[in-house]
Amino acid sequence: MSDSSSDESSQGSWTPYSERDEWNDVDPVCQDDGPHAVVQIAYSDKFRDVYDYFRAIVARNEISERALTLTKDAARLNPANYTVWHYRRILLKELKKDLKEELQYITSVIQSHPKNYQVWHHRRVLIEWLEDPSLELGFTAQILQDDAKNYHAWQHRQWVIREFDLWDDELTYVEKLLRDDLRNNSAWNQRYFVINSTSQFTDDVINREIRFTQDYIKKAPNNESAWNYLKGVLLDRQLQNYPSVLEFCQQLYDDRYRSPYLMAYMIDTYEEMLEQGCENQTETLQKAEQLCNSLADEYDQIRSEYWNYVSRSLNMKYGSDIQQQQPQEQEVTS
Amino acid sequence: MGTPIKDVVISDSAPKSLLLDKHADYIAAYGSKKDDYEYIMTEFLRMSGMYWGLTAMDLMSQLERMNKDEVIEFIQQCQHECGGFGASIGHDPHLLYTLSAVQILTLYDSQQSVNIDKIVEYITSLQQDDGSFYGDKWGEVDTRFSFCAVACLALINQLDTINVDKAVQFVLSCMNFDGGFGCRPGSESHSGQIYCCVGMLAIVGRLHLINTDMLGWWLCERQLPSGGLNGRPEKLPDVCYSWWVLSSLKIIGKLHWINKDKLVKFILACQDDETGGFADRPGDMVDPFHTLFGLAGLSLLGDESIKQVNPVFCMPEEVIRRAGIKMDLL
Ligand SMILES: [Zn+2]
Repeated sequence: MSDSSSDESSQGSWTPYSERDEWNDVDPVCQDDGPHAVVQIAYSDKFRDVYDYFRAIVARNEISERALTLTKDAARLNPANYTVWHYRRILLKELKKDLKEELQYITSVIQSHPKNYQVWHHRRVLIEWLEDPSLELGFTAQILQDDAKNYHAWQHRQWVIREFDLWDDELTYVEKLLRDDLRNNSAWNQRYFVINSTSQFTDDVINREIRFTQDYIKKAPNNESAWNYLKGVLLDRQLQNYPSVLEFCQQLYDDRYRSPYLMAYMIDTYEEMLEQGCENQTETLQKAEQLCNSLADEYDQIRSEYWNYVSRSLNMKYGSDIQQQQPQEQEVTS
Repeated sequence: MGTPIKDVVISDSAPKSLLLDKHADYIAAYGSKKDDYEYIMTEFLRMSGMYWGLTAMDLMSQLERMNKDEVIEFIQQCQHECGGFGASIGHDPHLLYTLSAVQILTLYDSQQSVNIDKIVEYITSLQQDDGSFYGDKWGEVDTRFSFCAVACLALINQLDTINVDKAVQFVLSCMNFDGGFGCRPGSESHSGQIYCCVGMLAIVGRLHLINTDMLGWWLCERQLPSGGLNGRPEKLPDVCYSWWVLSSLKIIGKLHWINKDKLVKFILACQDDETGGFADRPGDMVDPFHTLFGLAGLSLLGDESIKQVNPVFCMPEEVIRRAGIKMDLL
């Protein structure tokens, strides 16, 4: 949350604004946090100096080159200060500054503060003004190289792709990321985002995606992201129409894998079969309940309450004969 | 195959009991150290910082230690002509800080000390055709702002001034294939955003539009062996994410799906037994933000030495009741 880096090493010799001739027409405005008298002690003289002058130029609504430079200093000291960026954008417009140059500048700021809302938003506004996304995919890829799950970088990338219709190579990029880290949930999400916005999940695409995901699940059977993606791909379909997936699960299960996600998928499939009134109700229900119980008791104990709930609801809905015998117990569920 | 799980280890020496007095002293002292570098560096979020601190104090029944008049005066000075509030005096207005301001005013039962009509005007001006909300005039859209807008209007009892149906539609368009929510359509599910979306739907009475079994499972999957909850798959556990997941589960009526004892142990381990306050993870630096969410989490988990917290507004339940605010929880 608080990502403001505080200790900027001072670059070269620094002259406080209060000692600069070109600023002597401005009266600095001190931080006002209410009526308490603020005792002046040294937390950072530089910080105080810069912000006192920043408040002053905002108060007099000054549009000038020196104000623009001042916002740069203020942003360097605290890139999370959104008012500084707002004011800087007003200055950029009014002074008709070269936005490409500004883009270079914000590139370096984001590189130092990649998890800061304000700097990414500043970049987005610049791209809107420039109407030129040519650097964006490369830039976000560079940020994601250091932190493949950076939420801001993904936001920006999705926005650029949608806004400027840059879908073509995105699946290739996603695949590269998944080869690097098959647990990268952001990359799986991006895969869904791209397909959902382009080809959509047609029958062919679904079959392709099932194969794709299964390959990854084979490499790491307890990968939550891959299983969630598989579930997402089949979200509007009947799981029974994809018996090969259940076979795939059964094979893993027989190979003694006990991933909760694997078992959850099997339970989902059995539940759907029960819903559709499959032939061997009792046996199917038994299988599902068994899985729930072993999850609750052994393989996913921390979520035992959840698995007990699933087991109880299945039993309540489909264990008709049991239900008649013990009507009392069913009430507990909700 | 041995899959390494990203998690933390709680050491035996970590705190195991709740250090309420230390936390109250920590928060009370935080606001008075106005010359600390940390305090000055956080000016850009001062209004939210005050909300975190004051709410934490109220949850610990120690609100009277804070200077109410000073706080109210500060808030008054932060309201702009447009009706919105900045994070601090002279800072631009933003929905985030407008909500924090209204939350504090409600805590103090002092809404009348600012211009309420203007707040309504400000918030309604930020709603877009697709139902979403800008955070401020610069046009950033995020489901966090949908929550801020709706929560704020609910607190001042003016929900009917926006297009609620469209606002709901937008939030639902951010629902993902895994049952969670992101900040814009297509964005990855994230516990913080889920809290905002679920909270928003609770306030406007539309929780029935959520697949609670699917979302509930995704949320309880966030619990790691240490007991702490993370914000997304493969992330480390964190006290603030623990709160967002926990409150979302509470709102959809699935709080019992996680292991409470383990989570309590994790949150308690995030306390600093010397300075007071909670950190994001055991052993890290404390801050008011994680202190509030640590306390709020423990309250939801049933700790009776803390006032009961409202899971939607993250304010004492008694305050929400006094303000006459209704919402549906499942
Ligand atoms: Zn945190």
